[in-house]
Amino acid sequence: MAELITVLVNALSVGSMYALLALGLAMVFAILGLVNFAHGELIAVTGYAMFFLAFTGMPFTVIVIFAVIAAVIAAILMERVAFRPIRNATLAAGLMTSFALEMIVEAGWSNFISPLRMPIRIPAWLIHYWPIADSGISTYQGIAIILTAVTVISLTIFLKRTIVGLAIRAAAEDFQVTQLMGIRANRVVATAFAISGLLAGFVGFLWIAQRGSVDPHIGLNPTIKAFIAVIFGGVGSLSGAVAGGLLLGFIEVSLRTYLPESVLPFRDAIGYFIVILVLLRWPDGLISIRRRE
Amino acid sequence: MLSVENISVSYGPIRAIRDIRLSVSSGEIVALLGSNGAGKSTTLKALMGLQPVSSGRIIFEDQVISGMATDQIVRRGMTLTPEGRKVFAGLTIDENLRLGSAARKDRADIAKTRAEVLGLFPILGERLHQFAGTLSGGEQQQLAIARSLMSTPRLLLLDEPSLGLAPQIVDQIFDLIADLRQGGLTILLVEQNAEMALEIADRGYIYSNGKIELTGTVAELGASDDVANTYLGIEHG
Repeated sequence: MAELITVLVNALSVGSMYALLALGLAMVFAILGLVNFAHGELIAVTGYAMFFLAFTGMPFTVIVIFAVIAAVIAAILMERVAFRPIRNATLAAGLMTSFALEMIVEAGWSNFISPLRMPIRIPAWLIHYWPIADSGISTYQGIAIILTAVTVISLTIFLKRTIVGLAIRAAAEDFQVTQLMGIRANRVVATAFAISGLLAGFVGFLWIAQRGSVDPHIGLNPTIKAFIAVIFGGVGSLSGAVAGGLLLGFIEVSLRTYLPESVLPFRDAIGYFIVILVLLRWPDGLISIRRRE
Repeated sequence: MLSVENISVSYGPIRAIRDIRLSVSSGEIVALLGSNGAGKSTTLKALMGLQPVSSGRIIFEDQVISGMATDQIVRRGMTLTPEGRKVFAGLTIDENLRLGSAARKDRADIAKTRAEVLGLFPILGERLHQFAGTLSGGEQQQLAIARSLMSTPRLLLLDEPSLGLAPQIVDQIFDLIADLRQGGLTILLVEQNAEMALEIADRGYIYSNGKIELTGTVAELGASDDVANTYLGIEHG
């Protein structure tokens, strides 16, 4: 029982991060058809912002808030500088641009800051472990779960109640027709990028709280997982991205816990194999837009 | 009201329309007719700024609108109900209508338009919270037109409103178009169903291979056996 609770807590907190990242990726993809490989760099932006802001001596929570804002600004800049000029170009042009951006930014961290891990001091309260019966939860895991829940609920309300939110959902179906509603295309796209930056900023903070350091490649692994979560959940579907992220977290953590030691090195391979099996049965992912229509 | 001066549009190396000249006066229904792929829909997209024009000018109510962004053109009082209806299937009818008035600010004004539109399409009022994707083809066409009306256009572009609809639904839609004109709306209509279009239109332009081949009043176009046979596929008895 205790082990089950531990697995659930771990799976939820890991899955939450994948879900937040996947949600940002899915939103941008749904509107622009853009696969943004540079998305992970927003995590690095958050990390390096935390690293540098630590020198100011500000309280940790203030540092985190500024670091998340830095990720939002970086996401808006990313769209403005790199993606807006190629808005109407082919899918391949978008792919190449986002790849290039990812490489340039990553090289920038290595060359102008350091190729090495830079330590970030995480306050003790954040990694404090709260024992509950035979199990327990650390503060940042709790924050991860609550933050994700609050974010998903707020985002849902935003997408249902506000005109910009409605426009984002409409643009995910048909961007041209959305513009026929008299809606400014740039405003919708910039808002979607800002949201994806905010979510990546949250993930960046949680990831760093767990690792206690930042390095140029920090965004790579979670972004790959988030891509898998998007495809797993159903490309183009926002609820699918959340479901895909959470489920991927569950698969990963359960395998890590329950696999015998000898096959443990293959856990990622086994996890992806499960994803492939699901996709063979439902090629459109768990929550398919096509099935709904 | 609308004056199109020699516009051309290319998709890559392919010229989709060439030197299109046409005009629409206030209160008219003007029909663009001709075979599939002749460039009628491309003309409407160019008017809305969804396709860039490579030459020529578009003038709407004394202002050059070619080169403007789509949302600007909608704000100026012209909008398009696209081919294939294109309602937002995953959004409710209410949400579709709200998006239709997205460019407008005055809440009281929007509420007034909404009441008028729901008066024209009572079926939509009964199903406000259903997903648009659950509506039948005819109902989706009504929603698509209703959504366009929410921006209070003075000129409405309609692209193939009869496409894929049962004959009696087509009759309803055309009655509605005639009613809208009675209410003061100017309409530019693209239609495959030439017979129906000529019944409600005042004037027509006949497209062939990206160019306008013929133009005239409905009486002139309808009277010519040549026109009917060659371009419109109508058999005269």
